[in-house]
Amino acid sequence: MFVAALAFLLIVAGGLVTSNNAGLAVPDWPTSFGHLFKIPKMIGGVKFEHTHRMIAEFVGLLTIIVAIWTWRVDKRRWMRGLTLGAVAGVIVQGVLGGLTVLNFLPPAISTAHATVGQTMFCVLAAIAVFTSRSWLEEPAEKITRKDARPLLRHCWMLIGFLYLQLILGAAFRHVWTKWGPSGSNHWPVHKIVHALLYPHILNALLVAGLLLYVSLRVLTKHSNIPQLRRPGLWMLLLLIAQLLLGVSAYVVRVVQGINEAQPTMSLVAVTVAHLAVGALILALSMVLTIQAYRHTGDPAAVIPFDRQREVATA
Amino acid sequence: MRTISIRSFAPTVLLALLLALGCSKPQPASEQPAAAPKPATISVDAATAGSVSGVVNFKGAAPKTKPLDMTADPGCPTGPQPSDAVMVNSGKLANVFIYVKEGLPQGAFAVPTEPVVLDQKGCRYIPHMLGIMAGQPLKITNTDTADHNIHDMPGKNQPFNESQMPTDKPITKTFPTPEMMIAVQCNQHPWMRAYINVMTHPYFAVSAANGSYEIKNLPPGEYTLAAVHEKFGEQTMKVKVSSKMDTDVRFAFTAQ
Repeated sequence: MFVAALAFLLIVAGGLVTSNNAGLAVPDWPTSFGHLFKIPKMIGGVKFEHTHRMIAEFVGLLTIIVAIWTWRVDKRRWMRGLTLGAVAGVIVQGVLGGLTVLNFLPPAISTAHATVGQTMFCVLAAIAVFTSRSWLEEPAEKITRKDARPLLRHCWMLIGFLYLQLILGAAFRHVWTKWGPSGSNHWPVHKIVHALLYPHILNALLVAGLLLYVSLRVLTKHSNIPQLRRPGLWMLLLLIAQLLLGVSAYVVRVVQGINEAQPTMSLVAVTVAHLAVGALILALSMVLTIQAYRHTGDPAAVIPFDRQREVATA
Repeated sequence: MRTISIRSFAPTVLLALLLALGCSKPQPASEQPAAAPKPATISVDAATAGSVSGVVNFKGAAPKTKPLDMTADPGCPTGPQPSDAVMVNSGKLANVFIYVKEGLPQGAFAVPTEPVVLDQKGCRYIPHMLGIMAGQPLKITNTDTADHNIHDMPGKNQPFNESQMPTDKPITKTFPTPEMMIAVQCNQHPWMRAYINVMTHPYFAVSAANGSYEIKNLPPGEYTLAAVHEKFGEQTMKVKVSSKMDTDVRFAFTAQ
């Protein structure tokens, strides 16, 4: 849970880097101004970029420790594989971060960095769920297979559209920063807005609809299961916040931000909050999906985990 | 079966979008025709050459720009600082790049060996707008007490991003390919911004604080003169330059 919380902090730190246009404040990688361990003067854009790097290194180190710990004490093979995958993901994410610096922030790599970052947050949140005490206890309440199928189907649809939303949002931010008014100014604002922001807004409606359906279904049909009710309720509350933040982000960036000579406090606060809430919604959707599988009545048919074995060996 | 197809949807979209973004290339704001190989160097007879001079006006109320907040770095000036993105003084517009866009004789112009200097002073780039010939050295200096990084964002030339401490030696760069309005920025101080225009000829100027400019030593002829501003875009004008005469050309920009 602690590592997942740090990964969330890392996402916020990454958002601060992009919003403050500080991605290239430290021009080298993997070193910072030629040094691996020496902390540079933490002023201007350097404080955002180097803080992001330091948190990333810490999260990477903790992920490796989690994997070693899992391999030593956890007998669940899929859990071992998952933590090994998390280590691989952290390495890939670090390399993507380095590549984007060394290649002057190409939007494709920066977008991949943002997407893999949030995926890693979800993986670490899932590891937190799988290692929680409640996971190993037999669920007191279960959903019937008949009820589980539409819920799971819509959960996966929601995750798919959330990923699309994440990619479109990240691509918009990074294209704006690289080729838009905050960067080389090679792409006119209307082109970026039409190509990336409008699809992001359109997809937001689909995501909102799906999220509303999933949350309300959970809250009305399965509110007796706290592991489903809690993420469902939080997703609903965060959706309201996210829609308000999305509208605010549009105003501060597209309407007001074009003529700003430097990132304003409101632009940074709103866009980073929008990104952070988006990451939370994605992670909660993953957790809800996992818990929906966990609480389905016919484990042999639906659950992809070997529950009998994991309970026996825990 | 349906679940599997949904699960495969997100990675497919990710891949498609990333490929699309990876394959697309930035387009320059305004294109200067690429220099074709030119066998002979053009020499201009100073005895018959003319000039173009004038002023860049700004019609209407100047757009209000927020003062810059440079307090993020103690090495930068304190207190609100004026923005250099739109500089209008008594109806005259500064930092407009004026250049001969069409009409010059075919051939190559001699490239000066004297470098153009881009300094970092008061946590600003000085000058904010500059012209340089392709192949001419650009000398970047840091006369501030703050550290900077110089990051240019060309579409045709090779980009660079280098840090420069106050005690560091000047950095020298050249741009082999003609290109307009290459943005330069410091990612340590995001308000710092300059524009470099890489030309095939020496006939360009930047409007001063009073809006005035002058392009000297032009061979007599008919030209298309262009004026580019970072916010207000490009304007062109047909001009006729006569021998030993100065042609007065006035541009006027309005708020968009």
